[in-house]
Amino acid sequence: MSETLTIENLHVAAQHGHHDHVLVDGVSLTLRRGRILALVGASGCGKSITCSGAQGVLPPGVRVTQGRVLHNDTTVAPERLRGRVVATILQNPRSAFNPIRTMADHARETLRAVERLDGDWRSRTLEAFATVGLEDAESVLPLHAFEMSGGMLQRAMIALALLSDAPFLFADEPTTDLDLIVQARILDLLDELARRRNLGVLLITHDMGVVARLADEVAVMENGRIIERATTREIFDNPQRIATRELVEAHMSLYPEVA
Amino acid sequence: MSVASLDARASRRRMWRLPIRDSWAVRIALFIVALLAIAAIAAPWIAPYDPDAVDLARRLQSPSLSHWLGTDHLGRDELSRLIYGTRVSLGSVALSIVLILALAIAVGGLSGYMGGRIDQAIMRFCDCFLAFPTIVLALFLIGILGTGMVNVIIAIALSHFAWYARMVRGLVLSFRQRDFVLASRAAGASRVRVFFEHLFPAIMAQMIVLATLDIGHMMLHVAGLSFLGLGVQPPTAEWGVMIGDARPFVWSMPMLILWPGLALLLSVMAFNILGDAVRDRLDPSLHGDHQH
Amino acid sequence: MSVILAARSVSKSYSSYSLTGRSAPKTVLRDVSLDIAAGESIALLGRSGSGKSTLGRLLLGFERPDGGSVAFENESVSGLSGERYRHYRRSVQVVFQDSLGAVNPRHSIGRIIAEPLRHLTDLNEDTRSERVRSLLAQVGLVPDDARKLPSQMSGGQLQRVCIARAIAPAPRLLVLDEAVSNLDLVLQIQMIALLRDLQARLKMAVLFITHDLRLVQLFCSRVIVLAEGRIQEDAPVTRGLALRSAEGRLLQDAILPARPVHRAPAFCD
Repeated sequence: MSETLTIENLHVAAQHGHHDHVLVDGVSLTLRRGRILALVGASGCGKSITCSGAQGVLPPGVRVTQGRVLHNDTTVAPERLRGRVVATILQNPRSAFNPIRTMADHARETLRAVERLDGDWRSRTLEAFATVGLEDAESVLPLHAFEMSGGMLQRAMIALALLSDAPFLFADEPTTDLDLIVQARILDLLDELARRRNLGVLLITHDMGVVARLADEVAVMENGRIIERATTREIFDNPQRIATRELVEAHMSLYPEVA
Repeated sequence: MSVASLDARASRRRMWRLPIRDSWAVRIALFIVALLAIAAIAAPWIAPYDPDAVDLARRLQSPSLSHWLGTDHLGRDELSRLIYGTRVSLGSVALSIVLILALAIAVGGLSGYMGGRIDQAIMRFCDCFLAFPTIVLALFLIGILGTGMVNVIIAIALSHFAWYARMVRGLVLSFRQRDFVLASRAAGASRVRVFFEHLFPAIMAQMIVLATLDIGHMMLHVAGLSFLGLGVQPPTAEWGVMIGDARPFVWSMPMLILWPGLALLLSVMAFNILGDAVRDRLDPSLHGDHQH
Repeated sequence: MSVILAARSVSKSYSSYSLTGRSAPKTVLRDVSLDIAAGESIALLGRSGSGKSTLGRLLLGFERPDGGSVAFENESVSGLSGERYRHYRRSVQVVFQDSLGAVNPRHSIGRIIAEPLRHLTDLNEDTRSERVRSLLAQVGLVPDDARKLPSQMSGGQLQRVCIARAIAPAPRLLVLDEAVSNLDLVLQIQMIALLRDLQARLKMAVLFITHDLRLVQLFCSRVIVLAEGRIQEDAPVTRGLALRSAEGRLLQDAILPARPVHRAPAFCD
């Protein structure tokens, strides 16, 4: 039995005056090491909130009302999850970095958070930066976020995620803000890392092209619920639900010569 | 419709509601400010006596039914002077703020729009004002301009406007490259129209927040300068003047200092509490107004 | 075919200011020439930093080129004034990428759409609101939306508002600056369908600035590849388009797969 991470019956609600507005309505997912699970759906379907809800990093006014996260059948509190079991990469790398801190500062902070900051942090950071293809890693360390391009920042964020050595990775729209050339390279990188490090990945995206490129399995969300889950191939070949069909059809209409 | 937009709608609705329902502190503050406004506007009708009517026969009286708060060293009715003093305090602060906003929008707007050398020159000029504490600067300006209420207003405006001008400039710079400003130019609006249709209302909202937070502080300036004999001159009924007048009697009639002091304390606190509440309401940076 | 708007060997560079003074200027566009004829649909394709958005801004008259000129109906845009300027503004309109940032959050949808009508036409208020209603219908919104505020609409709806505003003065050229990139894929396809339909009905030329070659094939008849501030390739869009320039190949190779690849199917829980 491989290592697993299970989100069980997650409910998330936003408070509006006296009543709650349900954003995530009983989502259950299981990630396995070495597998990439895509969570797809239209904007506002609750896929990103599921990701932040599981990690306990919801915006103010939004809270988890029910549900838990299990690491190999043991319940884990969100704050024990972050960094140790799950590393995260986000859509907008620019806002994810503190503008007045250098990449070296961020690396140290990441390691400190998982209690792995020691004498050879520098060599491990350089190794991680080299792994994600940041050329001349030594010169990246003293840089600030504003001195780097979007693609470099996304690589740096992946490097920081790797530093924590967490077995699972949540990637929330990791390439949405990047142009297609950079996107292709970042996806190649994620693919390779997931295989080499045997990571279990939750990939949140609206782009079925990203799903086709990377995912083993797909869960489709609509109105806070998972309405369909299947292998990537089945989702493309034989979508069952209307929302799924819409996603696949919209995607296929971009490829007139294939369809 | 996404959930985030529901959120934004709710926050917008909340935004325009008066901050009455917040906390007891805000309600009391609002009550005090309303009381001050009524006192200032209706002073001639509600004040029981002429605030400047001297009656030496009735000097330094304790509170009684005919003089609720007693009389001062010239036999003037303390309550009437307090009520008329509201006019001077609020009026001079209001005029100062109008002057500050006009100066700040002109100077900051010019700086932000022109850019380059002109911007640099204007900002260094503003830095000279920012380098000194406002009260020191006000004292210095009074020294040049001479005493009197008009000069107090000018001094307060000149000692404060640079803070506002810097902020206007920052806002103009940040808005100038925003897509909705470019879209307005594409829609054929001239620079002047872009400014008044798009930038001015957004800037004013921020300025009002800042000004509300500053009202209390400026009231203290007016009273402080008058207390020192540099501002409003006796016999005008003004809280700072009243405190100054009462100084020789601090041991024999301490309540002559107490009344205007208390009035000043309560109004400064009320405006500060209200300023915080208004900022919480209007400051868009505190609202999650965006969505995805 | 008559040329509406042309860039004539334009170049543009920016320098940044810091504490130590002015940095060396960074050249964004070098000697770019481009003719846009009536009714044409041209894609301006390039990765971020290629200079494609800067070229758009020059064509829209938001900035002036350092060298060369932008000509509207054979007249330099920087020299236009009065009625000629108004004619240029009416004729060339834009839709931006970030719809939420492209509208004033304090204005109602009706006022936003009417803005070009107020500045660029002599319509009176009644005719304007009549026109706003018909514009809302043309972009698939309802008349009641005119009273809403931007924060009450979703990203996709708001982009429709921006399109309505852009087509309000009946432009002859619509510049779409990454106008669908912020939307999710289903909405992108819907928006492209709307734009294609509007283009055919209103007989506008379109300059579609994008980094996504897939969308180009859906929408445009000619593609111009931009890299490092220079035009690399100018090709007609045909079925089975194959770009030849090095940059064009890179952009084409970066297209994501249509169907699932290489990862073996696995059991599902």
